[in-house]
Amino acid sequence: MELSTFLQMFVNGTMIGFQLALFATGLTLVYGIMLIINFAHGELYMLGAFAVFFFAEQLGLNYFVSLALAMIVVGLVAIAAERIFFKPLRGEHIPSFIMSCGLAFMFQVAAVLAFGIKDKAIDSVFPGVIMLLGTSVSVERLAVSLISAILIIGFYIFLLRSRSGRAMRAVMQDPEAAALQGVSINQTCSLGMGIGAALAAAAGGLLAPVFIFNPWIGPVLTWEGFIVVCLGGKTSLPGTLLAAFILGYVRSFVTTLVDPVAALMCEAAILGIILTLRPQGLLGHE
Amino acid sequence: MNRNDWIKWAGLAAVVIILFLIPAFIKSPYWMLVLTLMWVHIIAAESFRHIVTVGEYSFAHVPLMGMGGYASALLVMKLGLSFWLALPLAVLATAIISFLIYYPCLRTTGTFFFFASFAFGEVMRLCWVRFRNPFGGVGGLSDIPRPDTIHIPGLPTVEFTIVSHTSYYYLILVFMLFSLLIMYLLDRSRLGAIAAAIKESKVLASFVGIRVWRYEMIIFVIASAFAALGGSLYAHYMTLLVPIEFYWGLGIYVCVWAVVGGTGHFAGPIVGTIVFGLARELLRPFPQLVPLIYGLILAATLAFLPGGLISLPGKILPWAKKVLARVKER
Repeated sequence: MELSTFLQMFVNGTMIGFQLALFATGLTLVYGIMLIINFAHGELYMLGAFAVFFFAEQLGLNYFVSLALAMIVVGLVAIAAERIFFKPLRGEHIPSFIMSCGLAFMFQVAAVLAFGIKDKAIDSVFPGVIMLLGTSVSVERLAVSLISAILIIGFYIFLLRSRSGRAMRAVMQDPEAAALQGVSINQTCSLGMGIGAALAAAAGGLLAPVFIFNPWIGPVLTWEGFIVVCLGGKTSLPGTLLAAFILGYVRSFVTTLVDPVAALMCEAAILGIILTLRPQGLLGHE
Repeated sequence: MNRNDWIKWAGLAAVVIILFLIPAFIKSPYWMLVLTLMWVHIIAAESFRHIVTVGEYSFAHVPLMGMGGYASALLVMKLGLSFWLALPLAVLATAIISFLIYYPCLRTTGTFFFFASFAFGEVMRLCWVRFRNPFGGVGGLSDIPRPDTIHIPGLPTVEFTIVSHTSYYYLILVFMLFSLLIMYLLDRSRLGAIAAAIKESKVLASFVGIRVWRYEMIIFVIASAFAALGGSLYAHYMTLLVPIEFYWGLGIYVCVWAVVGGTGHFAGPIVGTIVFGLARELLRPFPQLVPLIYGLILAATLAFLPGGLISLPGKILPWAKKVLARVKER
């Protein structure tokens, strides 16, 4: 194998890793706080892409403004969904999960009714390709990775430094103890859901110019995100980051060296093996 | 047997007779197709309920159903066996594969069982996509031979061709009733009682001497065998198998049918499958709304009727009696 091929695979893997990290952080957050596996998370990504499409293409706003607006709108939608659909089922894991499947269906239909069933695309914001050490890197993917990194770092600063962030970490560790200390569980759940949804929407909005999208792109992403969450250790946010990059490299290397279906098989097998042999994941604890 | 039991059995017999008479009244091939597929779906949903009786939700169930279809189609196509021999062999093969799949999955419980089973089911499903020989790749298997003609001396010959909707209807109806009967007997047997104990608490069940692992595995393998039966019938009925059909679309649907119908009662998944099957037909002019309706029915059932549709009469009857009593008082 040539060095340039290896580098190309490495670069691609890193970029997939950034996208998965941004997407899966919200999934881990929601699971950590509410112990709900939010099957509608991929739909939030899809809604993010459509929101950016709406603001940027249909209203003609600036791309970055649209991205910020999309994050806010999708975050609010998710908070409303949490209040209406998940609150009555708090603590019941399988009904919550099935409810989130129902929610995913509803979001899909909402997108179909609002935007139709045709594939959509947004004009590239950062055109061009740069060559580095014999590997071609599109400026767009580089910018997407960079913005993802900024968002993830921003989220971590919020989580580690702010009062609400501390409340979230407390609820993730022990909801009852947190409630006894005066943390409002309801508020924290809503906030966690909102922030997780905003990050998913950001991922969707960032990738909208890169890939075409339609109302049915959600479930595949949820699946990828779920593999990342389990591999990283379910409630461990640093584990999610690590797992996102591992999965990115697995996808990139196996796709190039074998074929795309084999990459999907590897990912599914990783999930099965990690759940059955090391249920606490890479960085989680028992 | 008391009077209530007699009414129940008479009602059941009447339903079965009606099911057998349906082809005499419905001439439209389309509705015959819808009904025949519904019987296959009932086998799938009812065997799914069998897994739920121990408190686990499996997502490998629908891929295993596909495995039954692939196994029997390949046995007929590559080895030239008769359908009637391939069917039991496919059921057996799928039972063995389900043992291999559930063996690691049984280390997990709850939502993670759900996902571990999905992961292994997905690996199996991707094998069909990945290996063109013998599974046919993304395009799947087409031109799967139809069942051989049944020729019993003294009885009319039963042929299976592209236009013989009635023979397919009866074939699948008989297999469905047979599976339901066996599953009902299993549900009523000691195995069903053990499943209920395991669902209540694995720890308590193991304290009273139930080998939890062994009985869970037995129930999963039995459920997979019935799923394989459904898959095999489906394969030889549609004569086409595509891997994408056994993706999580159908997986979630089967789960939704069973859960909305009510997994606490044997008839729940049957009711759920029929209600959703008919709802889909009624909504055929608005295909884009189907997922929304599914989602709403699901959400409403989970929020207001945790026992499923089957618990609806039990909730309405006392209420209706109360209203009637009040009317009489006045």
